[in-house]
Amino acid sequence: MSVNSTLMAPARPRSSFRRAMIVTRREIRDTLRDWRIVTPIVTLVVALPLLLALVLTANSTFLIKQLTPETFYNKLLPFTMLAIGFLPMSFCLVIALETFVGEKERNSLEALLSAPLTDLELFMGKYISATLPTVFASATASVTFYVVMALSGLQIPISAGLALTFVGLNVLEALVMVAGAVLVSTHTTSVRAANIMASFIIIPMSLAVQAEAILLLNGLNNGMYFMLLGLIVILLMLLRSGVKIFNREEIVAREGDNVSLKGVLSGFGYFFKRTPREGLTHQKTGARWTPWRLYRHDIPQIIGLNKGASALLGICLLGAIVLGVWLSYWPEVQQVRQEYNLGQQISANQTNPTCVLNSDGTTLQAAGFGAVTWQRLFINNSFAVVFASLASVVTLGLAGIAMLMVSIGPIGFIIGLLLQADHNPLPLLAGFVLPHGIFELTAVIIGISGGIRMGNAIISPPRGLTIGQSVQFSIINFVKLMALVIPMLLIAAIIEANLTPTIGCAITGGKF
Amino acid sequence: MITTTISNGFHPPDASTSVPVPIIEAQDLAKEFGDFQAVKNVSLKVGAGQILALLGHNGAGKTTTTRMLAAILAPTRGVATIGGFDTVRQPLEVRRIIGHLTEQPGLYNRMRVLDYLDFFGELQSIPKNILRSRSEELLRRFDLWDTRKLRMGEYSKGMRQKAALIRALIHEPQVLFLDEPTSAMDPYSAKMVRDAISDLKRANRAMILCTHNLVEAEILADRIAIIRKGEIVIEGTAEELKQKLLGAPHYRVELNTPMRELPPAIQGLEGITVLNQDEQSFTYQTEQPDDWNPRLLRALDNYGLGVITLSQVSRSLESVYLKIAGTPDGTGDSRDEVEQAQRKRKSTRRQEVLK
Repeated sequence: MSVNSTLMAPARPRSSFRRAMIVTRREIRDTLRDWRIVTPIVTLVVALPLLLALVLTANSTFLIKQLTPETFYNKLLPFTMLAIGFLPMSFCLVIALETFVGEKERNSLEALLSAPLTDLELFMGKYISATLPTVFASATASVTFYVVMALSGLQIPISAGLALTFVGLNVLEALVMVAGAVLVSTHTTSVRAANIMASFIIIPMSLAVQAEAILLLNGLNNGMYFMLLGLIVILLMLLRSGVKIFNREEIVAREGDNVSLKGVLSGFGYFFKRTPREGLTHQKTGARWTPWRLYRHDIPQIIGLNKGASALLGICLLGAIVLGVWLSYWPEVQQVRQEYNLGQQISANQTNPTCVLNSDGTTLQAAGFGAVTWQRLFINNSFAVVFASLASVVTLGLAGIAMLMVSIGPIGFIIGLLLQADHNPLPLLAGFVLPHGIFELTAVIIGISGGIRMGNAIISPPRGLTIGQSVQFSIINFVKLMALVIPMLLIAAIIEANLTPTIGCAITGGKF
Repeated sequence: MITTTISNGFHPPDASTSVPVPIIEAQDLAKEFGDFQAVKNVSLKVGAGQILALLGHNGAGKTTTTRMLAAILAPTRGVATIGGFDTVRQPLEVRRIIGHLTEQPGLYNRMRVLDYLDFFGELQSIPKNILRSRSEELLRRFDLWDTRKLRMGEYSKGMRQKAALIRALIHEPQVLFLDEPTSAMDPYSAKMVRDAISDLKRANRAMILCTHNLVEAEILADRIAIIRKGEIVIEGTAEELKQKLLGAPHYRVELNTPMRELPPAIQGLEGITVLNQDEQSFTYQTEQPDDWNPRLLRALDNYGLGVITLSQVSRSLESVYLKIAGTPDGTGDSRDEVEQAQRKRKSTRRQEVLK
């Protein structure tokens, strides 16, 4: 018998929808037996639409006079219908927290974990059971409102497309909330703690509903499609992490909600002392931590772990250049170019202001970038990398990607302009970008990839690490990466301030 | 009697064979949570029709061990197989052949017991008609049939424990992990559960019993393993453990005639060590009772001392347990004493060398 099971990748058993449905049925029955959930849902599904329909019908003349018929019929009534559909949805969060954390708190989960169910079946069963009753309640509430209004003689002028969008938005909001509840559930061991953490879901969702209200009341119905799209993206990300995080190991291993500063610090120490590979497999520390080990083992391993994020950044970098070139061909840009006679200036073999020609017109001197010193460049670039990385943590990596694209895009734009003026952009790139760019861009990609991994630490923790450990692991890895990134940025800044102008002017001959 | 139908295509081997094929097998099982080592290198084997009792303080690692064996937690190191299925690579197969009575009954309070059993039975793919008859049989056996219409939230602690045990048995598993099966039960119910466990043992089930009830462990288990700080520190039958930890068995002889002192010839019997004596009785220890007890009786007879009774002095498993498991913080146990003695010996040797 082999004694090291960690070396064997566990086979992923096939999941069955039928078994997931067994869990769903039980959960739904249990939910429907809970008067604390059923009473408010019934109120929201039956009483509230009736009440609102009666109020709107009774006051329709007054409201039409105050708001104009257009606003009343095309904005207020559809929005009320959307809101009535959303209110029962908010209960999916209560059900989800009860279903996921409640079961853990009541100690009934372990029996279920001992049953022949895969993690995915359990996740799906519970996920569907948390969303199905509220989706049904939401649809019923909307239909009740629509029917009562119609019976009262006030037909809501809503197109099938908009009605479907409303349904889509409500369903997606429910799915997003439940997916968020799964994440919350994995971090808590009591319904009380989960309810406190649920504000992280409720606040963004209420903001989303407010945004829907603004769009609808301003007649920007197309904006709803972007909301749908945004919710789908968020849902996919949350589902991905939910499926990954919702596993027996994570559920059973977490037994307390206490925060211990000592524990947190010791966690950081644990990962700092180990190489990333040792940290991931919870191995004992091999070689003692030394600067040599950091550069020889730790950093190369981290770069290896972040290769996906680095590849993504590389693709985005190329994308930014292509985007810049594409932008330079926009008619608006062409217009400005013609207005300032930019093409003429470039094609007239104008001298690059960065370069100074000697009086004989042949020998070249670099004038440099004026007031831009290497110290300033270094501080600016280091700040940008750290800021982009930290912003990536809260934006799931989007901020880092956006900042990289914004800084690289202008290069593409210049390339585009040069191409339009029939100039070869390569000497300019080779002279003015490449010398420091080799270090700077590499450092930026390495640094921001660490930031993206930090943002990913919660959504997609590596196998064998809890969420907390995953966050600590990614932070320590980022700190270790900085030991490479900062010196590289320093080298890049020195080259950019002192060598790049000379090299650039020499290669381009001081001309565009 | 609990039925012995074999389900899930698994056929436990005959327990009557002298060395039962291990159904539960773990080798060097270890579990770490970050820096904390919950279980260290646990190796065990349990054959069909055998019960292994896992004893240990709270937090010693019993529950983590059973969770790894039940394919709930993946071991950090080591391998475990249940009925030949690997707990890491074939978790579903493992969970199909095990019944797990968890530390907490963890019932669904708003459910009725029959619905509860239906739910778990359906997860185990038991046909509905079989499931109903089996549920009834088990509920009747454990005296819960009359309360089947109550919601389980209304059950007493003992009833909840019995309902959880029935849930663990509903699919007639070949392997059982029972964590405190009789906790919170009245003596009658506890006896009922112990009888059921004995029946299951006779029906060739392999079982691991985690308990703090040492009497229960001694009655039910074939072998006992004491786990301390995540490690199995000793394993064997109750008698072997007593022998190992408390020395050779003790016997007490009651005489029909008062005497001041034992005759020297009896005191001088080389296979016997007299431990104490009073006017009409004495206690002794012997490594080979089969050989020395008859000799002692003959010697006493020769001296005209009539023997009313000769009985083995019962020694509790508790003494063994306390000796090996010590206090929860690990102080005051025999292992520490051994370590202290070793340290003292080393230090004395060092001093002798220095002299």
